[in-house]
Amino acid sequence: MNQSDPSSIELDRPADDVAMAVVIRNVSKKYGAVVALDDVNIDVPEASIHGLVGPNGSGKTTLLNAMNALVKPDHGSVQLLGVDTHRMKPYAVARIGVARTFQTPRVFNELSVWDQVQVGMDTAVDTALGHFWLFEQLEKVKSSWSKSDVSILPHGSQRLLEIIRVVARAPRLLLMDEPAAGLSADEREGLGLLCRRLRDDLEMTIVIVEHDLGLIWRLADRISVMDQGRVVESGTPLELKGRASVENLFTGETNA
Amino acid sequence: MITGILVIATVWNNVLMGDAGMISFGQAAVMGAGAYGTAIAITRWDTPFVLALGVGVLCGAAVGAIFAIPAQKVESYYLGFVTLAAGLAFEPLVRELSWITGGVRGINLMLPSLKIPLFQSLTPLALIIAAFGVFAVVAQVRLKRSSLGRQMLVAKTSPEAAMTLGVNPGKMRAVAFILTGAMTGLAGGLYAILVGYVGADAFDMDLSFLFFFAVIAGGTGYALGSVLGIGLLYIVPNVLFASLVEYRLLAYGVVIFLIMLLIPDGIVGRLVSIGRFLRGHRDDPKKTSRVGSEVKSMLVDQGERS
Repeated sequence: MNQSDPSSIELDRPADDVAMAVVIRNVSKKYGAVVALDDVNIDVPEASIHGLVGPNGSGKTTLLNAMNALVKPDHGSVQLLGVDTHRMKPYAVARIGVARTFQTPRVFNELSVWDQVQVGMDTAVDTALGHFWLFEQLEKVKSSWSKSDVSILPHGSQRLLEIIRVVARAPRLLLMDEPAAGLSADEREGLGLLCRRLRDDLEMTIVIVEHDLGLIWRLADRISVMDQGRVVESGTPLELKGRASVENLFTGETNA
Repeated sequence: MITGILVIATVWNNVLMGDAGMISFGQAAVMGAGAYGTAIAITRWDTPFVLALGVGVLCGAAVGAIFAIPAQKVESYYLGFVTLAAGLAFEPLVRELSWITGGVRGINLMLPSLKIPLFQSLTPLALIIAAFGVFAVVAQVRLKRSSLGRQMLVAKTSPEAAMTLGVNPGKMRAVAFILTGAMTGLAGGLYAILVGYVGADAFDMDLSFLFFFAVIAGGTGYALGSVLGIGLLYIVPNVLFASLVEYRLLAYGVVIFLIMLLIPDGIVGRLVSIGRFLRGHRDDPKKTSRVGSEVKSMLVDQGERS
């Protein structure tokens, strides 16, 4: 169930008996003199939605890249779905059930709209999930999407299409980098509904980097606030609401 | 018939360039390896021609596999230069290995049985060449609709995205180089049988550049484009301008120059985008909004149902 429910507010750390989809311990990454990640620790329980927020350049995307093994941390360990990803290649990490969307959506102009999704099915993770409701829906649009060029679609649809592609892989862990950027209000609402349903029906674990704080506060079970490569606050949306670092983010947003 | 052999090698080079996004200026060496492999198998070991062609395929695939090694590290024209170096090494290498390649004398081989006309001037060899030419075109079209082809395209467009989908871009490159190498080696084997002589100077840089420019001229990624490309760059200068020997290279250069300047996406590439443009003008906005809302409904309808 939704863990942001007020009744579960006293849980500051997730209970020990809950299986963890993500365990990040003391992860640091430097680019020359620039500290991108500074001793980051994050736990994400299975079948929950975890929000990563923070100002630009605070290390959110680098953290996602470290989880995908696209970036090798200088120190620390990343354990995903019970597997220590140290020394694993990015494609090997993907195959254990980790999916990822990017800040700039990756659509492939040489493939039809349908094939954008088909690529996700081609690379489906070998799990018991198999076919779920999304596939029935997709079957209905297959012929129309097969004849359509992806370049005709507006930016928002391309972003959603990338999300559909990686969800079609039936991953256990979904990492999304600013999925709501460039989406309309009702597209954002749809995105939120999809995330909840993936968590509740399919017990998927979702980590979202997002600047739309309102969406994150409604959606996430727990939130980590990052600043200058560090996790400065962590907790449920309700717990974090009054804290100074979070208030700064909200004011920063209204000033922008 | 030479044209048919060039078409085979060019269409497979198009798979390498268009589908896997790799540039090779060493495809003549791949073809040469296939030609020598087949010729040596026939003359030294008395192998039946089918097996000898198989040796050619293996030799081509082996050189393709060698090219796949730098392709793990370098891309685009840098990879072009590395393969160019490998291509340049081919001729001296053949001369050095004269104990098996015949050195400067090359290898003569006789396979008269394949050249007896079945019907008028139609020989078994011509049928084999035509079959593999058609196979190459069909294979490239089919590849685009296959899981392997889609993964190659994804790895070409965004190696980063490919990796997060579980696709190993290095493996895709290797598969493309080895597959193209095998079929280019086959083209070399057919060349050896057709001409009845294999010498190192036939597989020089000019031939590698012909395979490259024919793909560009026809349209990268379009199988039929490669057929047109060879037609334009090989038949026009060599057949139509055959009587003007001195101007042959000039005609070749002018054709390449005009195509690169006027239609950088190639003949078929340009035709396709014109077709798209015309169709787009008719139903673009309607289709865009329909597909767009279908994409959105994938998310919204799911949630509402629960």
